Amino acid sequence: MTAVLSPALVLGASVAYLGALFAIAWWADRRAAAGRSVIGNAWVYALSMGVYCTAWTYFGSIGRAAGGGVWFLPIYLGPMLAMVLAWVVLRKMIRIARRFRITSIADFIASRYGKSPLLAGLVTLIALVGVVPYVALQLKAVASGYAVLTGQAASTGAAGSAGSGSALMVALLLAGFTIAFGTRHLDNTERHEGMVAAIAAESVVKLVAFLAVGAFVTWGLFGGLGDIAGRALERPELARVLQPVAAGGGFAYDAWFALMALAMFSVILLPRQFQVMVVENVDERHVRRAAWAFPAYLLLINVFVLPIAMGGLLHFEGQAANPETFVLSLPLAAGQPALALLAFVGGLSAATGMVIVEAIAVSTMVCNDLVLPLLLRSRALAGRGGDLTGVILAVRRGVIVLLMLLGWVYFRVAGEAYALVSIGLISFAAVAQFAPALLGGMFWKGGTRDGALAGLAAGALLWVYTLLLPSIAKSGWMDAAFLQHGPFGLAWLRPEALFGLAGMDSLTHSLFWSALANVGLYVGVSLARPPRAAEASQALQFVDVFERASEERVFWRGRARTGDLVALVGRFLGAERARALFAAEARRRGQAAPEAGPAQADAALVQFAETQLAGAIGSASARVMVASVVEEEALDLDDVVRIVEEASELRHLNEQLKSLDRLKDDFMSSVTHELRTPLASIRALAELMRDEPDMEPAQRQQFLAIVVAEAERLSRLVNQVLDMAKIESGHAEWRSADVDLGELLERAVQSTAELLRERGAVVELDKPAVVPTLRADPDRLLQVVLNLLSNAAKFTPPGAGRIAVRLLVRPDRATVEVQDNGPGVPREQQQLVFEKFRQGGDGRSRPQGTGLGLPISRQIVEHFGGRLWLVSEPGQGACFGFDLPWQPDETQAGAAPARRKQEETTP
Amino acid sequence: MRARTPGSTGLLAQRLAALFVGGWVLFDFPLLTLGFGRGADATLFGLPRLPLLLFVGWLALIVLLAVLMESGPEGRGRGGPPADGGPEGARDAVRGEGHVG
Repeated sequence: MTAVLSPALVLGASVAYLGALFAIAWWADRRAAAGRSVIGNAWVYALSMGVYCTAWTYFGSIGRAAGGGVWFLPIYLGPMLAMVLAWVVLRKMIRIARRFRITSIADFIASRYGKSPLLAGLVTLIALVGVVPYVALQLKAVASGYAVLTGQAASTGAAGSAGSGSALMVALLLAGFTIAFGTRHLDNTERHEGMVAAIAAESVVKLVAFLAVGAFVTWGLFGGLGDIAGRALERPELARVLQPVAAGGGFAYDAWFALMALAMFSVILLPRQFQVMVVENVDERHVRRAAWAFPAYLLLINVFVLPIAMGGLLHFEGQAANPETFVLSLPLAAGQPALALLAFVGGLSAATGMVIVEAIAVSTMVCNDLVLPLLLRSRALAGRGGDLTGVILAVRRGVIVLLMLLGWVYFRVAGEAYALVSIGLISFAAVAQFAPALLGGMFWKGGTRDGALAGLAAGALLWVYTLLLPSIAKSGWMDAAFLQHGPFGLAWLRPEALFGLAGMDSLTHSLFWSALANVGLYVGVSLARPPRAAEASQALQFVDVFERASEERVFWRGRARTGDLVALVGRFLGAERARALFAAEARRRGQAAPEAGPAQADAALVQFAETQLAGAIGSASARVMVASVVEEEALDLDDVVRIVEEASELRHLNEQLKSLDRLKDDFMSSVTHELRTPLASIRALAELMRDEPDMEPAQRQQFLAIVVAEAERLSRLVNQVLDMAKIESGHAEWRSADVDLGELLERAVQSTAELLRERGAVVELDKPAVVPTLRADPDRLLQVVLNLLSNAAKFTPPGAGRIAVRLLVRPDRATVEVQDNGPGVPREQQQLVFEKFRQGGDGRSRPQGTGLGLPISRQIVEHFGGRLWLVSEPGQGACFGFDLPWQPDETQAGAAPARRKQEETTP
Repeated sequence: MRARTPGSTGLLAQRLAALFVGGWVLFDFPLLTLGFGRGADATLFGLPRLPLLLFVGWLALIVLLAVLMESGPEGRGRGGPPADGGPEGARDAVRGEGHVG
């Protein structure tokens, strides 16, 4: 009764589907080139994270659920919890990766610990070995799915020799596809817009296909969720799986916890997850939506796992059917070949998406962090000076093919003894080793390169010994006796019960030991000695990446030629691109193009070159290459600390300058405004007189008087602006003479007598008979007193003004007060009157004046070490006062820096 | 002295941390035992109790996270300007040492 599809149809559909994916990628790349990116969208970003769901989810979860009920879930609950912290952790990773052009997880870790090539190589090696089982899982799933669909799998569903052949074919096909997707050209950001678009599309396809099968099984084959559950619970062997009983039932909490934690780390540490979440992210704000949309995607794709698993077990009761292919065999058995084909395409989607992204990510790492360092060391290539972009692309393509073949070999070696999920978990456990070095490095400045190396190496070795070797041994390729009795008969070295630690499943056991060794050595070795300069500077850059000052720090010292840097970057990115990049950078910094610019490159330009290079060949290789064309001085820890301090000081001064600049702009706009008002009135009156030659002489005379008055006001304003500018810039000329303050006040009162009489004001001068002499500039002081007097005159009531001028002699200083009986100054305006162009009174009663008299007076008084103030109660008149020390130099030295400088500039 | 780093010190980050801890508590011993049971206790609304409770808890976590992530302006942790140093002192320094030499 089971329908079977012809191999030609299945192959045709698969190739057509892959072709469609490729078309999507090509279209997205075209759109990106045209500046209309399709992936600049939070939903696409969230969907691209769905690459987490591979054939493991699609086929393996059902197998797991059929044997263990809810035990498929921790692998998705872990990512849920990880995404809760995405806004804090993932966003920081994205920011760091963008700042330093980090393009892989190996690069990230190596860069954090002083751009260590050794560390980059180790991480790459772990990632490469770690993901091989995972790739094998995909090949196995697709091959066995193909076998089920075409009826080649007799009853076991396992892949025999035919399956192995088709797996090899799948591997090579996917390799070619990945090469076409990811390594057509070299990009210094390692962004692949087309690939991301295709991955997002794949996420939709696999979700839709899986939901379609789930809905068909639930409502087509059975009478809904309750029906499946009810019938499964009736059978004791299924009920035990589906619904654990009370706590005594031996629920393995340690394994549950370990799986959740493992998945939580894997969701950001797997090379492909790092690729789509960090490297391919176009806008860190997208993290907000993806943080919940991605877990929601996981929830959706898992809703039907248990129904399909239980439905399959019920449907195939008594038959030997592999639960891992229920998603195909159930529709086939129910006579729905079209649905089965859709399900296969969905599974293919899940597998290809994983393989493509993983292969691209791993090939970038292997090329940048394993192959290139060796190539660059060999003199032939390093010295030739030619364009290396072709070599890099060739290396990457080779690595992709190699990874696929390794996956196929692992599938041949160990694939048949293990369930899909178990294979995948081996990979998870490998990449989880990155967690202490990576996450610790992002939040703890104390971690060192040696600590990271020791932790990673120990964790990885324990992973190999307690998890990878047993998996190979159990497949019969090695003598499995050492599992039972330990190597050389040493029982305490048994890989799955190290030091006699038993009572856990092998995965939890392996995770415990490797995590203990990894974290312990990372922290312990890091704390053994203080970080070196290179480590400390990178630690600061990573941990404090959100601080604004961190952008301006440049940890480099030495001599470099711009031409050398351009040529170096050109070798890896192409000469044309390099020139364009440097020209753009020069423009950004407001400098001339590199050809015309200074031959000597500054530290910031060296850093720029290194960052560009890091995007193409990894930060460790970039460091080596840059070091080869420049003369560097080694930094020590003190230098690092000093650079950090200088950078924040620089930023501080920069902000000060900006605010001074704003003040200057405000001043300019006030000045122009003040100039325009008298000019407008002069012009209006002059035009009036020109156009009406028959104007009454009296009227004309009146107009002319206004024109003269306004012109006087203009020249007064210009003089005062110049005066102000001179004083503020420190270029004013100051005389220093003995001044008799009493005599000076008398002169001031006399010279304003005419003005005061016009307004009907009386002035009284109250001064002691003997006044000591003062060292100051008499003309400037007169200017101050005249200004205060004319101010007072302006505000006194016409015809009834009373002004009192008082001179008080104190032991250390003289105080002058000018009191009027005007309306006074409201409290809220008392500070404003000393600001430029602010005058007392509202718009209607705005008095004649420039608004600069008081600011200038205050500057003059302060120049001689005194203060100018205003005391006023509304209705009680205003009292302006100032005091001056008898000997400004001795009493005020050091108190007013502005004054000191002016004296220095005055001969 | 140090600029406030959005996302690491703000209220949002603290809420997310609380939700993270809550999630771990929700999906682990002993709350997980609420899903155990046989006979009449094996199901809830006709569905197996443990899977149902896990999925419902999961959904609740997603909804809470979505509310936190989608509410509030972009980068709400970005409080006021950094409170480093007094501007007065620095301005005096600029003026005092500006044109010398």
